[in-house]
This record gives sequence, structure tokens and C-alpha cells, in this order.
Amino acid sequence: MKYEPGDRFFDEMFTPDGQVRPHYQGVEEYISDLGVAEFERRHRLLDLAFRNQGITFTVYGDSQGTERTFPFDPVPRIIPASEWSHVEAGLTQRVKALNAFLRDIYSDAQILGDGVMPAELVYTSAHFRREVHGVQVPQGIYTHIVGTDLIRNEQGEYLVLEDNLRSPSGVSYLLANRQAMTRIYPGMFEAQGVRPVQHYATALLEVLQSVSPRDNGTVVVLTPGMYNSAYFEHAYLAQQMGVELVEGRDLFVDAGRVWMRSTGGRKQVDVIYRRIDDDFLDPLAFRRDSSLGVAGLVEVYRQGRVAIANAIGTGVADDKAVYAYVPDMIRYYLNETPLLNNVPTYLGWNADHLEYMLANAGDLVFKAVGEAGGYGMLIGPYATRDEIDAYLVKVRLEPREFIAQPVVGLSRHPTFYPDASQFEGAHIDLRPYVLYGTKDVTIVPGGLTRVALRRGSLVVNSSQGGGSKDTWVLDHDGPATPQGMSQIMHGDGQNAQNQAQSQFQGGFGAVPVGGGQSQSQSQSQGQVQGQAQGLGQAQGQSQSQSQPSFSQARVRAAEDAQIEAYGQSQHQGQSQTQTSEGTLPPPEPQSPERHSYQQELEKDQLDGDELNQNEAQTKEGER
Amino acid sequence: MLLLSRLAENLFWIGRYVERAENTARLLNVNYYATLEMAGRAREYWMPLLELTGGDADLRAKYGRVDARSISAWLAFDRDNPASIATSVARARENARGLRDRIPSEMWEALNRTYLNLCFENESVLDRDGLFEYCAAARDASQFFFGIAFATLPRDEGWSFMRAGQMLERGDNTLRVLQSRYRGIDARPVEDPGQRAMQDQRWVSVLKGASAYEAYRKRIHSGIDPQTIGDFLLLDEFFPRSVRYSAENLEAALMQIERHHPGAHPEIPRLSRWLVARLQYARVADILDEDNPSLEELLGDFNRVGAAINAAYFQQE
Repeated sequence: MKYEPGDRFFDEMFTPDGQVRPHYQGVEEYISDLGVAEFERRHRLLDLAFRNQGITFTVYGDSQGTERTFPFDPVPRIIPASEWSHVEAGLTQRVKALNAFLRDIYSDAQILGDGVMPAELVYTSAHFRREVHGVQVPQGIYTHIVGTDLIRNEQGEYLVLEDNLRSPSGVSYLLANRQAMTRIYPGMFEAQGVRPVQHYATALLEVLQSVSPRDNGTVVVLTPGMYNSAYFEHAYLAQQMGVELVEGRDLFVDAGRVWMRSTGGRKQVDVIYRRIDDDFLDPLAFRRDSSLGVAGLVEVYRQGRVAIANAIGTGVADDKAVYAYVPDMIRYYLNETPLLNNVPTYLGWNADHLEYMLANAGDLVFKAVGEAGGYGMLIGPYATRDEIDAYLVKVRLEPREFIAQPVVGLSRHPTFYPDASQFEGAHIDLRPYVLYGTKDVTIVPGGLTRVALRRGSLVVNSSQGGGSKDTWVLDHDGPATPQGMSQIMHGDGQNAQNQAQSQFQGGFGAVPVGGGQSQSQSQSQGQVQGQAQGLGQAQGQSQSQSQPSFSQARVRAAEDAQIEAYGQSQHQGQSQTQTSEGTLPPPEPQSPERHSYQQELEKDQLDGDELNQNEAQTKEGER
Repeated sequence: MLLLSRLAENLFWIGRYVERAENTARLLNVNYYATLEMAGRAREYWMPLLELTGGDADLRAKYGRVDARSISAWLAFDRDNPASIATSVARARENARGLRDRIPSEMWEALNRTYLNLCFENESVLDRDGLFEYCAAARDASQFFFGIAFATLPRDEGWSFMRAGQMLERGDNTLRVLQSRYRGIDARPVEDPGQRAMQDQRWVSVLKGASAYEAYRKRIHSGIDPQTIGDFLLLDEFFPRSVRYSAENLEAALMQIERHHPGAHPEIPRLSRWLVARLQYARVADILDEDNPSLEELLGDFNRVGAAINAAYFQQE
């Protein structure tokens, strides 16, 4: 899977002279051994599985098949242990400071009094909610769930591109990606020391329950409904947590409490994990035309009889102009040095910055502070003089509404391109999910890696041909020592039986293994053991043979059987598809090529929650 | 165990739509293949089918002609037809999508696969003689779906709502089929032997459309007769697609729901038991000859039960 990494961008897998970085060695070897043909076959299985499971996002303004699967690339993005602990510490620090900031500005606003940052920036932010000023939020927590966007620059340094503090989405894809990967490429994980991610839902529920005003409170997930682009995620999280997924019309306010309508009458609701933007939460407090929210909800919230996660008004802290002050917040509230840096940012609000911005517009990326998803941007190096001039008129008119940043070249990662049947470098970002609870900060190891699948593109938006990758955090810095496998390989003949059994029962789950042939799961355990014994004996006899190749073959055989079983579980859909040709909806036409920069990575598709609140909205499909 | 009103409604309509897709698939399949051996007599076959799915005005407007081909396309694939197989599947799937957190993922995936396989088709299926497979796939999908539900869905209120929807749809459908047949020329046996054979064939189609032909033959040995067929499809105690059986199971599902909210909605047991009582004690001659109760009244009874469910559980504050 080699290619020329070049030196323009940081390559995640290869050093500039083409060597595989240590933490990628296991995966690189696995994929090379597997071969491109087999790799492709399993890639197709993955697509089919996502499609059948309906792991999709909604494309707005598309009348026919309005749901698409999120393109997925099976080459995992890998983060070694020490690198991750740096990122983890940096994120923890940042989220703590942001929470302290929100608590502060919605009460005494000491940070403004002390002149650390200008009051004007805060109070003029479109996302500052005066309606909740002075409200005591449960446990003092504002940002229960944070999805920070990180990028790596040309030197490989992690930079924060954006703090998403409202209702960041995408975590369900992270979980679904991992589950699918372990089923389709189980061997890739063998002995690699990959840290698990599936405890996210448990941790999330814990955080939500911990802010309940009543003991054993009822938690719900509030969704705009099934036509929302992130509906799959809302349903998935509700299901994984075992709580109700509600829409605004399921809830009502009466007697100072929030209730949900059930067939047995009303039931009180204590914690609302809302996936609806502030504006739409309560037509009495915010937008009057919202039919997605619950009338009277904010008043109950003010009385402390319901908790809302994330809290109302958190958007002020991810305003692009306020973002520039997060390092100062870290110093001010925590008295610490920021571990993760921002992308350098010029504020139109600052007269000196503005002057620089106007003078160097051709080299900068401009963004409107309140906009998201690549809207309201200007990419200096790729804009015409006229475009720049037109844009700068707006900037001069309302300088507070604009920031500018230098162009950052995102790191690249080997990615499989089915059209060329080969691996090529594609640009990626990373969105880790941070849970901020009463006791501590929990970050599921890794996050969602998004990848710009269109060649040369720096845009990871799925609407712009972006996809995602499984993200591994290792418990070491690589290369992996094949500990578990070598025990099995080199076990002495007498113990081979037991080891073989434990390998098949533990190591490969419940799927019976039969020398490369697939078997149905309904066959008896006895048979599995019998075969495992057979293998164990064979192994005992083959001690003198070259062991590595033998055990490799065995591992491969076991894996094949599991793949086969998974394939069969998808078989029905597949065979129906094949027998009646033309049953599939036609592939969606790609939107036209568009060149642009990492700055568009931001609020894009994953924040469909925030962008596409309005049911009637048919704005083209950012998700 | 709490059940949101909206989800109860979703489950009820999943039951109805999946059952509806299956019923339409059966009727279409049987009808299409019956007409192949019945040149020139298509009208007697096709019009009743159109009548019970809302008439032919929209079909005429869209296709400009009413023949076996246009009717087949209209009933099978056409998303403009609110009663087509594709529409029913798509709506069932839409309701299931609103329930993704609630129903077992196997149920959702089964329905989602069906949607992907059946809801993006057009007349090209007819060109390659694929209608039989299409209808069979729709029927199988429904049975597969309810089979998974039977094996995996917890028997809570949600199950009962789905079951109630399914049974209400089934009873309603069988009644409509009979209504259209007894309204037409086949209500009474004709004299002419040649005509008679054709008429018998049409009644056999009615039985097959309800998957009742084999069961009927086993149980009734007196041959094909409109009255006995009516007796079987309306009042048979043991045949699971008879109107009586559907009503009894509808009532049972509603009583299960009632157990969670004792006495809260007295109208529901009253109406559903009244319906069951009529079907248990009426004789076929009362219904078909005396209109006491008439098929229309029985249909009305089913609809009143549906309206009562809606008012009691879905629309409440």
C-alpha cells in the first residue's frame, strides 16, 4: 500500500522518506498480506451492511432516495498512546476552561471585568442567550457533550479548529464504524492493542442522569424528527441508552413540570438530551415559529425542574470570534498553559487585525463568525480579485462578524480508492467526543476521523465527497508485540487443545470455525470443540514445521469463517438484489467538484442538528 | 412500561401497512395470473381489485388506459397510488424508522431491506415477467417481518398495538374483497355451464387471494359456491384470515392493551366485543341475504373500532 507521501503535508502512516511509522506496522502488514482483491471484497460487504442497517444520513432537497450511507474507508487511522494522552489532556483542559467561562459569563462575568477579553465580543454574539442569564444549571455543567474538531498541520501538530459546544453529532458513526470493522476485518485487530470505544452510551447516560433534578430521573433524547439529517444517531443513542426518543410534540409543560404523552397518560421528564438548537427549543422563549420544541420548556428550566444537555446558551463559547480567546480562558480560569493550540486567528473586531486581514486577503481564509458548514467563507488563494473585493466590502461593514485564518494543509492518510484499486493519501481531520460529568471528564479513545475522499480535496464534508474512518487509539506506541498470538502459536503440544479452544471461543467470539469453511451458528458447541481439538492436535504434530506460517494460516482460516458468517447474515439482501437486477436505487449523482480548504471542515454535515432545524428547510444537503 | 402515544400509533400503522402490502401482493398476483388464461374477460377480474383500492380515476389520469399492465404497475410499484405495495412498504418503513430505538434492529433491518428492494421499481419488472417474483417477495417480506416480531418483540403494549393494526387491516381487507365480489355479477351462480366454469374460477381466485383455497377445500367438500365461500371467509372460526378470526384477535389485542389502563376507555371493549359478537352469532344468510348486518355495517364496525383506538390512545393529552 505504499505511495509517495511527499513533504507538503504530514502523512499519518509514512515518514517523509517512506518508512511506515511504528504504530502503523501491524495494520500495514495485515493489509499487505490480505491483498487488494480480498480487501476490496470485504469493503463491499461493509457498504452493504451499512445500507441494510440503514446507517444513513438525510440529504435535503432530494425527493427520491433522500438517505445515503456515509462513505467509509476501512484503513484505520491510528493514534499511539503517548500522542493520545497529549490530546486527551489538552481536550480535558480546554473543556474545563470553556465550562468555567460559560458559568462565568452567565453570572458575574469576572473574565470581562478583569479585562481578559472584551465584553462586547461576548454580548454581541448571536448565540449569547440573555434569557438564561443567572440560571443555576444543575451541577454547574454547561457542556455535557463536546465534539472538538482537531486537525494536524504540516508538522503533525494537533490544532483545535473549532469547539462544537451545542449538539455535536457523529458519535454514532464512530461506534457503528468500529462494530462493522471488527466484524469484517477481525484479524486486523489481533494483538494490536486497540482501546475499546463501546462504553460511550453508558458514559453518556451516566452524565445525563447525574444532572437530574430528581433522584432516578427520567432521561429522554429530544429529536427534531426522522427527517433530520442526524436522525439515525438520535435513535441509535436513545436505543443504546435505553431511554425514550421523543419529539417536541410528545412533550408538554403543565404545572411547572415537563411531561411526555404516553398511552397510559403523562409521565414526568427530568433530563432532556436535546438535539435541537436553542432557537427551536421553546416557541415562547425563542423562535415563535418553531414547531419542533416545547412551549414553556425554558421557564421550567429556569425553575430548575428539568435539566437540558447541553445547556442553553453554550453556543456563545464556540462563536468563531470567542474561540480565539480560549487559550486565554485556560490561563485565566485554570492557571495552566494551553496544551493544544488554536489555528492562528485574526479578528475583524480588532482594528489592527482588521488592517492585516484587509491587506492580506489573498492569502487568508475568511469566515463569518455565526455561519457554519462552509457558508459565508472566502478562500483568498482561490478567489478572484473581484470576489475578494466584494467580500471585503461586507467585512468592512460589519467587522465583528468576520475572522480570518491562514491556510492550513491537513495531514494525509492512506485511503483505498476502489476506482483505481489502490491506496492514496487523503486529507483527514479528527473529532473526539468529550463527556463532561460531575466527577470527571470522559473521552472515548479516538473519535470520528473524517476523510476527504475526493482526490486532492481538503474538504471532509460528506456532501462534498467526504467519508469516515475507524479511529484506533493504541495502548502502546507501537509496533505491537504479537503477545496474544505468540502464546497460541508457540504453545507446547500438550496444552495445544486448551489453547485452541480458548482461541476459538474467546478470541473469535461465538462463530464456529471449520478450516476455512463456513458453518451456521446453529451447529453445536461440541463440534466446534472437536474441530478446535483437531486443529490443536495438528498443531502439536506440526511443531517441527515452520510455525509462523502455519499459525498465520490458521488465523486466516478462522477469520475467513467469521467473515463468511457475517457475509451470510447479509446474504438475504444481497441475493435479492442480485436476482432482480435493477432493484437498487440509482447511485446519487456527485455534486460538482469544488476546491477549497480545511476551514470548511467545520460545522458541516455533522452539525446537521444545528443547521437543519427547520422541518421545512430544503437548503442543499449539508450534513 | 411506558409507551409514547406517537410510538403506539407508529406500531399500529406498521401492522396495518405491512399487512396491507401483503394483501395487495396476494390479490395482484392471483389476479394477474388468473387473467392470463382468461382472454377478453379482464374487466370482471380487474375492476373489483381497483374498487377496493380506491377506484380507477387516478390510474386513468396517469396512464391514460386501464388494462392489465397499467393496473399491475399501479398496484405494485406506483408511489402515486396510496394503496400500492411500494407505498405501503415505504410507509411501514417510515413508521419503523420513527421506532428505530424501540423495535428490535432485526425487524428494522428486514423492513429496510424490503424497502430498498421493492420501492424503487417500475414497469420494467413487467417487461421481464418479474411480477410474480415481485409479489412473492412482498408477501414473503411481510411474513418474515411478522415472524421476526413474533420471535423477538417483547409482548408489551407495543406488540398489542402492532397486532391490533394488523388484525384490523386484515378484517377490513377481507370484507372489502367480499363486498366487491358480492356487488358484482358473481353474487349468484349463473346457469350457463361455460359461464359457470369461469365464474367458479373467479371465486377460486377470491379464495386464493386470501390464501384460503387449500384450507377451504379441506374443510368444505361441497365445491365452489358463493354462499359457502362467504361463510368460510366471513365466519370461519379457525381460518386465520377470516373476518371473524381477525375480529377476535383484534379484540384480544385490545384487551391486552386495556389491561395496562383498566377501565380508562370503555368504548373500546364495547365496540370490539359488539363486532365479535355479531360475527360469532350471525349466520351467513343473515349477512349476505338479509343484510343483517350487511357487509357495509361490518366494515363500519371495524372502522369505528379504529376511530376509538385513535381517540383513546393516540390523540389524548
